[in-house]
Amino acid sequence: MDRQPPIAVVDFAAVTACGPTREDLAFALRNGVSGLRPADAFALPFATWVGAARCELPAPESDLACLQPRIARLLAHLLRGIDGTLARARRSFGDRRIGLAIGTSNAGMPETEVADARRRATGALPSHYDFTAQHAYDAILQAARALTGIRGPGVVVSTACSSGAKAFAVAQRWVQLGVVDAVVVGGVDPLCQMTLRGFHGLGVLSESACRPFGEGRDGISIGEGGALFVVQRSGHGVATVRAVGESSDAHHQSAPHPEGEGAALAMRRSLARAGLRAADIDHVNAHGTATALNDAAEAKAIAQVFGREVAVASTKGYTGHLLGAAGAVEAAIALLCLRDQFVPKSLGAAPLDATLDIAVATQGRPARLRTVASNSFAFGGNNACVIVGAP
Amino acid sequence: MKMRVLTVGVWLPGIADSAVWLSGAHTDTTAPPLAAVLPPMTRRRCSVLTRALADVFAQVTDRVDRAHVASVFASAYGETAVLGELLDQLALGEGLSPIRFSGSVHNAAAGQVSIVCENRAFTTSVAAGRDTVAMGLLEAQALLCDGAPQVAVVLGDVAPPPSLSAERYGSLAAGLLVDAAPSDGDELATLVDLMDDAMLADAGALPVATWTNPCCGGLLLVDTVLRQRNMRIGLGPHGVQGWGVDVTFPRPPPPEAA
Repeated sequence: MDRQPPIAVVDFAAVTACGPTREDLAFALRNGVSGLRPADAFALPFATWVGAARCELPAPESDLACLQPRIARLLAHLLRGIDGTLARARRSFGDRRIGLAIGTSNAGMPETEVADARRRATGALPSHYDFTAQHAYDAILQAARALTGIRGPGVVVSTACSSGAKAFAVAQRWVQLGVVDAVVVGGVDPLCQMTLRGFHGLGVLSESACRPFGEGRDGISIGEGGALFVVQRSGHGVATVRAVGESSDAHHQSAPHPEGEGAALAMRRSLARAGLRAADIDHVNAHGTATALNDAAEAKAIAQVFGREVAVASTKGYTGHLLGAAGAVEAAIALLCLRDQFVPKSLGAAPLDATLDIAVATQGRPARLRTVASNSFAFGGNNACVIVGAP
Repeated sequence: MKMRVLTVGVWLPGIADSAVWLSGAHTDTTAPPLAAVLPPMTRRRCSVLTRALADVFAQVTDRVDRAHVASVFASAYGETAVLGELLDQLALGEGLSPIRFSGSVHNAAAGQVSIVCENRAFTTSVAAGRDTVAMGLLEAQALLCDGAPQVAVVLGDVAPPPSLSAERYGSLAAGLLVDAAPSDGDELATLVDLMDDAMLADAGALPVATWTNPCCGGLLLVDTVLRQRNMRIGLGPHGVQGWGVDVTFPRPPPPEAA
C-alpha cells in the first residue's frame, strides 16, 4: 500500500461511561476517574463490572423503526454533538458528497435479545420489533441518514473490536478515491447480554474493574457508547488522521498471536503509511484489554515497533472495552490528549506487571505530544493502528 | 476508475462453482458448502455462511498467492444462524459456547480465511443493507486506488432465523478477483462507473429464491460477467434502485497482419 494523504478532523463527539460529552471524558482522563460500575442491571449469574453510557437517551421524536434501538439513540446523541459542523459540511459539499463509515459489532443486539425472550414467553415477537430496521448492521446507517439527510455512500465496518479504528481507513480511502469530500466516521456499540455472557464463556471477563497491564490482571470490563468525527480532505481542523495501518494475525479466531506479530505489523504499516519514524510517536493508546494474553502480546509488539520508552496507556479502565466502538472512542481520547497535551494515567495498571517491557504510564502527566498512535485488535486476528497528529 | 475482473466464484445450495452455475446442473440442494480450503475440524465448527464465503474466496483466489491477496468480505446480516444458536443458549440460561460466540462476529469468515491461508495482508468485513454489494465493490476500488495490486471481493448472505424475521430467501455467495491494471485482453470483464445513479436491479433471469437476498446483485454481477453481457446492472436486490456498475468486455484481439 502507498503512503496515505492525511485527512482533517474538523469536529468530534464522544459518549462513554465517563459522561455524555467529550469534555466529560477529558475530565475523567485528566483526573483518573473511572466510569466502570458493577453490572447490577444485567441480572448475570456471575460478577463483573461494565461501563454503561452515562447520558440521557430520550425516546426519538419519530416513529421510524430504525431510530428506536439503543444504538440509534446513542448515535442520535453523538450527532447532536457535531450538528453545527455537519450542517456546515452539508452546505459546503452537498449531501451526496458526504459519506458514512461507522464501526459496530453488537448493532441492534439488545433489542433482539428482548424481542426473542418475549417471543419465547408469548409465542410472538413484539409488534414494534423489526429485524431489518433494528437488528441489521445497516440499521445505524438508516438512522444516520434519517437524522442527518446525508446521501453519500454509507458502510458499516464490522471486524469486531477493530471496527471503529478501521472506519477511519475507509474514510481516508474514500477521500483519496474522490467519491466524497467529507465523512461522518466513528463507532457505536451498546451493552448487551450476549457479549457479557460470551466473554464470560471465553473466561476473559474480569469480576471487577479491569486493570490493563496490571499485575494479576484478570480480564475485560465491557463498556458502551461511541464517538463520531467529521473528517474531510482538507481545511482547518482540530487534528489530522495521519494514517491507519491494518493487518491480520493469521493465528487464531479469538486469541492474539503470542508474540504480537500481527499487531506489530499493523503498527509498522501505520508508520510507513504516515511517513513517520517510530521515534515520532509521542504516546501510544494501547488496546490494553486487561487479559493476560492480550496485554502481554501487545506489550511485545509495542516494544518491537515503538520502543520501550514511549508512554503507553490503556484507557479501558475509564470506559471499559467498547468493542466495535473502541477504536473510535480511543481515537477521540488520542485527540483529547493531543489537544490538552497530557498522557493519561493507565488506570488500574499499578502495581504494574513487571514482565512487561514497556513504559506504561502509572501516573498521568503533562507531555508535549505531536503524534499519538491508537491500537485496536479483534477476533479473527484483525488489527488496526490509527495515527493522529496535531493539525 | 476501472476494475478488471480476473476471476469469479459462486456458491448456492446445489451449485458448487461457476461452471455448475453456467451449466444449470444442480446437485444435492441440502449439502452445505464443501469449503475444502478450511481444515476439517474448522469446517465442522463453521456456519454455512462462513463455509460459503470461504468457498468463494478459494474459487476467486485459485490462481493467486492466497497468503498476500487483500480481501473484502461483505454481508448485510452476517452470521445470523449462529445468532439463532446463541439466543437458544441464552434462553436456556446456559453458558454461551466460546466457539459459537467467537464465530458470531461479522468477520468470522474473514478471520478463518486469513488463518488458513496464513494471510497477514488487508482484510475487512462490511455491511450496508441493500447496498452491501456496492459497498464491497467500492471498498475494493478504494483499496486498488490505494495501491493494492489485487482484491478478492466475497459477498454473501443467508436468511435470518424464521423466529426473528419473516424474510425468506435462498442462501448465496458470490465473488470476484479484481485489479486496476490496464486491459491486456486476459480479463473476464471490466467494471466501470460504479455509482449510485438509482439504477434498477433486474435479477429476473436469476432464480426467484435469490431475488430478495441482499447480495443478489453480487450473483447478478457474476452471472453477467460469465455470460459476457455488455450492460449496466443494478447491484441491489431484485427491483431495488440504487448503485449500479457497467460491465464491459475486452475487445477481441485484432487479426494478425497477413
